[in-house]
Amino acid sequence: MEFFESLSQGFAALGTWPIVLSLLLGSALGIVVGVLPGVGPGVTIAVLLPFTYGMAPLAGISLLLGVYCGAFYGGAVTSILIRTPGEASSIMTMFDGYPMARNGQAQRALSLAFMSAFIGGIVSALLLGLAARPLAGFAAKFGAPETVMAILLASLCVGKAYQRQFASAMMMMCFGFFLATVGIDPNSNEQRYTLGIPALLSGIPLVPVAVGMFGMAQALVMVSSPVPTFDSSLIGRAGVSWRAFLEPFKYPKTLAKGLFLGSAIGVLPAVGAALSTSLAYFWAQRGAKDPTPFGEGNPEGIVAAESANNSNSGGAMITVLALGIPGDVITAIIMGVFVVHGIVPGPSLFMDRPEIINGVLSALFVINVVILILLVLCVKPLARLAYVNPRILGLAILALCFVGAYSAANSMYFVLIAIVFGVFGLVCARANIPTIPLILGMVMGDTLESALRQALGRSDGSLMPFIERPIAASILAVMVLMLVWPWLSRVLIKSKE
Amino acid sequence: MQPESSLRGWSWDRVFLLVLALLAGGLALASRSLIVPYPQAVAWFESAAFFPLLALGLMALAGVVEVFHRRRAIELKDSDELNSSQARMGLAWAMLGLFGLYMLAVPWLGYLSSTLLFLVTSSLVLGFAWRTTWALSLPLALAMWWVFSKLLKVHFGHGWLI
Repeated sequence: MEFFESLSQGFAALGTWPIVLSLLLGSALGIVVGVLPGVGPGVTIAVLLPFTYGMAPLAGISLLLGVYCGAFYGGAVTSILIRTPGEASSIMTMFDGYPMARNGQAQRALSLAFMSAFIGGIVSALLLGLAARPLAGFAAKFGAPETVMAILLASLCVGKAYQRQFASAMMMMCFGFFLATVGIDPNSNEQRYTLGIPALLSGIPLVPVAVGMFGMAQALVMVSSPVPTFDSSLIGRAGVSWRAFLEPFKYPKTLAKGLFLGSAIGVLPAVGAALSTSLAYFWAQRGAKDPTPFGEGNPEGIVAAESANNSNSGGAMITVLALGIPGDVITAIIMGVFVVHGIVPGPSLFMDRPEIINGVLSALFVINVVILILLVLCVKPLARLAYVNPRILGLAILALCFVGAYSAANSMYFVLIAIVFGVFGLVCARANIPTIPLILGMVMGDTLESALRQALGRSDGSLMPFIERPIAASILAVMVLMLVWPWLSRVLIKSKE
Repeated sequence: MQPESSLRGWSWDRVFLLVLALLAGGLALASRSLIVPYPQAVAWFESAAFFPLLALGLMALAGVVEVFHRRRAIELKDSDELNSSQARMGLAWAMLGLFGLYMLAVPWLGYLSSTLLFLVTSSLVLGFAWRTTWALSLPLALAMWWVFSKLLKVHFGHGWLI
């Protein structure tokens, strides 16, 4: 009952023109950036962030959520029609979508993808509505030691998500933590690492760092890479098939596998949709109903991948709203909108600003419906966007990066920061060093530092609260297990042999 | 691609990682002069230096571990986050230089004229035909100027031109 009450309150909160326009604009923009190969939602959201400052919080969040969700849908279009995934998470859709399109079933493949993604989106919104409040209730019991351990666990998950790049991911995370400390210390008013530069007194701002590392670095790669060639013969066949819209329900097991993996993995920090889609795809191969081999146009491959892909969005928002911990770079930037408006994400948000929680929940439902309608109406012209030269797009993004960084404070200093971090992001990409952990570290750094100082201050410097308090100790045990598991599993396998 | 087992020397990515680790270590060591005033008479856990030192220390440690880890060859041609394997770095740096000039030009020339100049020059550097260059640059510069300067009222200062 409480869920439906929240939902109706949320719909009421969305009923203003600025929010409605933000939802429509964000969804449309999300689909477009999803279709355009090379332009991801991260770049778009980083550039859009400064323009949300002047909006009401819910309008700004709705705009960015629209981009976030729209990109999940849009990525399938180019995967199916030109064998070029718009997003990394759409790669698995390509394996069966493209062969189906080649066999004259482009409309069926697109409809399957859109409907599976729609079901994923609605289920993830339901999950957010049902799970976020209990999780926030649990998180409300957190004191400083538990907050420290929760952030450390999230950081460890981020590092683990990068597998063999664990050390470089942790290095960048710590770099982010450090960058968050630059400026005047709020507790003691000491100037930390400001080098006598007045602009650094207020710290290193997140917006130009995000614009530089994601917008500029991406744009520079796009303008300096050769224009990819692709088979465009199928673009003219874009469209939808009404019969195929109901087809995902013919494969309930496959759909359930995708939804389960997408939702569960969406909650984990930094793991992302790409892993959930590949796991769902390979799991769907076991016990598939359709006899067509996977990779040769099996519709269940599309159902598994797309349902897992889009069910990530709600899961990723759960940790932001309930714990104040972003799961990926996009939710980290969305969290920036909260912070700019003086809203602190976490358990207290459910008590202090329920209209935001209800609004986000309802916005996710509305966004998925809007996106589906837009796709049905505009899939043909959208598919033609694939013809756009990535170099032209890169140039446009570069010009937008200037405004994105400048307009955050009407300052060239912000543009300079964007340039510095753009260069750093490009060099890191060449050296295969992950950059997303740096942004996550910057976002979580302040909270981690204040919680750590508070916890240690209360215990007079003793580390015992991290071991004695049950929740903190449980999180610590999970962390230890995560760290020793690779070694332990090797030992166990050897002993079995 | 080099074989996974082969040992390799000081490739540029390892040097870059080492520089980052050394930078972190150097900043940690120089913290006494970089935190003003440096907290002297407070407990370590209450000090403003505690958290940044911890972060820098761990960053340096993780950097050294990664340098050690990369003593065996890994394929560098592709990043998991941003695939820059096909990028011509000379062109990327040239575009970055143009972007820097664009940043300097905006307060002097004005937003519209600087954006137009940046887009035209960049398009020519990227090898677009004259017709494409103008068909892209003029509408884009005008649209951006109208949206940001007129509609969203972003103040870019007063240059010689618009």
